[in-house]
Amino acid sequence: MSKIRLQAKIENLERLMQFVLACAKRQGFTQKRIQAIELATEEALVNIFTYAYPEHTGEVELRCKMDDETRFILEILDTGIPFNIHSISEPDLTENISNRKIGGLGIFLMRKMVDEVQYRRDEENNILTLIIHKVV
Amino acid sequence: MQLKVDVKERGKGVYMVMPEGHLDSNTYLMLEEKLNPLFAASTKVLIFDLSRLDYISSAGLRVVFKAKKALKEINGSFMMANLKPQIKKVFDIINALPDIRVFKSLEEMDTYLDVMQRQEIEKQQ
Repeated sequence: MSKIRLQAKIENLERLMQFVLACAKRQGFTQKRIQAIELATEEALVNIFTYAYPEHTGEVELRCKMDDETRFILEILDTGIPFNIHSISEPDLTENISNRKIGGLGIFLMRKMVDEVQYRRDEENNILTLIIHKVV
Repeated sequence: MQLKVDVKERGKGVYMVMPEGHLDSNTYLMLEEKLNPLFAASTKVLIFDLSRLDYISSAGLRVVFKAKKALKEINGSFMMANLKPQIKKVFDIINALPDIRVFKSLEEMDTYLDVMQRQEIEKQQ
C-alpha cells in the first residue's frame, strides 16, 4: 500500500492527483479507467477541501492498493466533521441546466465513476473508500 | 494538469472558445476569466469547441452551465462542438446534453449558423 498525507486545500489537489494517477498507472489500468479514477478522486477531494474543516485547517490522507489484482482500492481519510457520503441525495437531473442547483453534482459524478463507494467513521476519521474493478 | 484557452471571433458577435487540456477545480477560473468579457449583449453566439479538451470535472461543468445561462440572459445562443468520448460521457451522466445544442463537427455547426443567419436577415427584411 502506498500513501500520502497533505493539508486539505486546493493548492494540494495537483500533488494528490499525481499520487493517485501514479498508483493507477502502476496497476496497468486502461486510460479510460484511469480517467474515471481521476474524476472520482477530484470530486471526493474537492468535497473534503470545501466542507471537512469549516473552522480550522486539517489534513487529508490517500491510501491506494490493489486487492487480489482485480480491484483498485482508494481510501481517502480526513479528520474533519463527520460526513456520510451516502446521506447526500442525488441532484435533480431533469431540470434544465440553466436552472439546476449547483450542489451535489460532484458527489453524483464520483459515485457514477466507480464500482463501489463505502463510508465509515472510525474514531476521528472519515474514511471514504472508492473501489474500481480492473475489468469492467 | 494544465488548461489553455483560445478565444476566436468567427464573425460579428460569434465567438469560439477552445479549452485545451484539463478543465478541473484548479483550472476553471482561468476559463471563467476568458468568458466574462464575452457575456455582453454584443455576443450573439458562443461556441465551445471541445476537440482539445481531455478532461472535465464538476468544476468545469459549472462553467459550462454558467455560460449557457449567461447567453440565455442576453438572448444569445450557446453551443458545443467536437466532444471527445470521455467528455460526452460526463455530460451524458448528468443528463445535460438535451439542454445544449451540440455539433459533431465545426462543418455541421457552420451549416446551422448559416441557416440561422439567413433566417435572421429574412426577419429583418
